Amino acid sequence: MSAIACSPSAPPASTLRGVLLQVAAPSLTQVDSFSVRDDAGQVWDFRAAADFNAGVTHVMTPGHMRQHMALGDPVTITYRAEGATLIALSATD
Amino acid sequence: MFESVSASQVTRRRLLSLSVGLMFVAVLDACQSPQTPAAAPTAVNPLIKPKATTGAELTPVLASSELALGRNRFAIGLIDAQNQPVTSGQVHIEFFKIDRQTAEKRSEANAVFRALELQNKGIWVAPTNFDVIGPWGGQVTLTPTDAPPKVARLNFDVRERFSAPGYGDPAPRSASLTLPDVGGDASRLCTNQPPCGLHDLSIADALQPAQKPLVVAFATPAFCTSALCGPELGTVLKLRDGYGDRVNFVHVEIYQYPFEQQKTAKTVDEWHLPSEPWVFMVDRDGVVRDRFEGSAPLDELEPALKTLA
Repeated sequence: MSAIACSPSAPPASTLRGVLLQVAAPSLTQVDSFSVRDDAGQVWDFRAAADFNAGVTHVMTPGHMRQHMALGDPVTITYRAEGATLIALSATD
Repeated sequence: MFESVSASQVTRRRLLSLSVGLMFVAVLDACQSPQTPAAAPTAVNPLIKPKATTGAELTPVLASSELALGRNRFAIGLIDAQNQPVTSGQVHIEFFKIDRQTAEKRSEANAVFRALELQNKGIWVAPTNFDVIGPWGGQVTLTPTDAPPKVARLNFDVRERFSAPGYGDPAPRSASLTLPDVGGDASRLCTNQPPCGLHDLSIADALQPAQKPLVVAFATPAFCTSALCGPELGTVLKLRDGYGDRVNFVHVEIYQYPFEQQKTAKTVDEWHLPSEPWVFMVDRDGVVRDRFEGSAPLDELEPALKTLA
């Protein structure tokens, strides 16, 4: 996984809701990247933060993200833009 | 095997087939090649792709995390232009072997919608066989009941072997944890509420000679608040209600207690699972006869189990 630090001066986080189109998860504990299509039809490519899903009460495992993808069940992504990279901080139901 | 084509072999039918194949590859390339960020009113970040102008009426997503030589349960989800899952109609999938600039149709199958219980959701499943490894493409045709057919494509790789036990493979004889291993505290073995009761036998116990067939469910039902994943274990419990006298059932959690996702269970590692949940059906000889990744409802699991019980 890419090690992406969240510095104290990081820009504020935003949220996005949509359906997952692709999840790159090399293991059952690690998500590398994923793509989400929002209701406007735009596709957003995210890289998972090094501490992806840290502090989330009901964590979505990589496997469950794949389940949501297959079922077309929307997810909410909290993310931060760092330059040209969208860093996903968490994914929730 | 994929056969090369020389000019002398090209017939009109072949030419048509190749033309379709080339179009298929071209479209696949167009969908997959890195694209120069296009100017779009709201796409200020190159990682936000502009809304597709074509091909978004139907979007297939691959639900199978691994596909390998031989028999496969090919599972996809279908999403419409409004981001809603497609749950009705007829779905036909054509499978193409891709070789550089050509795509050769090798097989086709109708997909069956496998609905989750209590949910108007599910996945489309087609049985298929892949006879060669490498890049493949799938052309999905959805014929709605009241609209013209829609076509979409996806591509994927076929590997030589599954990482998780495949059809005909011996089931790993894992010493999965049982109630006696945790002093009878089922909450240390199971995140289901209440704990499911499929923790009396280890997989190794259940695979002793002269035992019954075995159903192994790998699932962690606590980690999905929308209840999309928890039902998989519930489906297996329903199977147990009907077949518990003839078949052994074992549930294995994905993560070690206290289930904080820090470390996968030893049994999960021994089975080399690339995703979750999974259900495996093992015969009396300890051989995997069927395997189901992700959502697999009762009407898909039960016929498979009947062949073993």
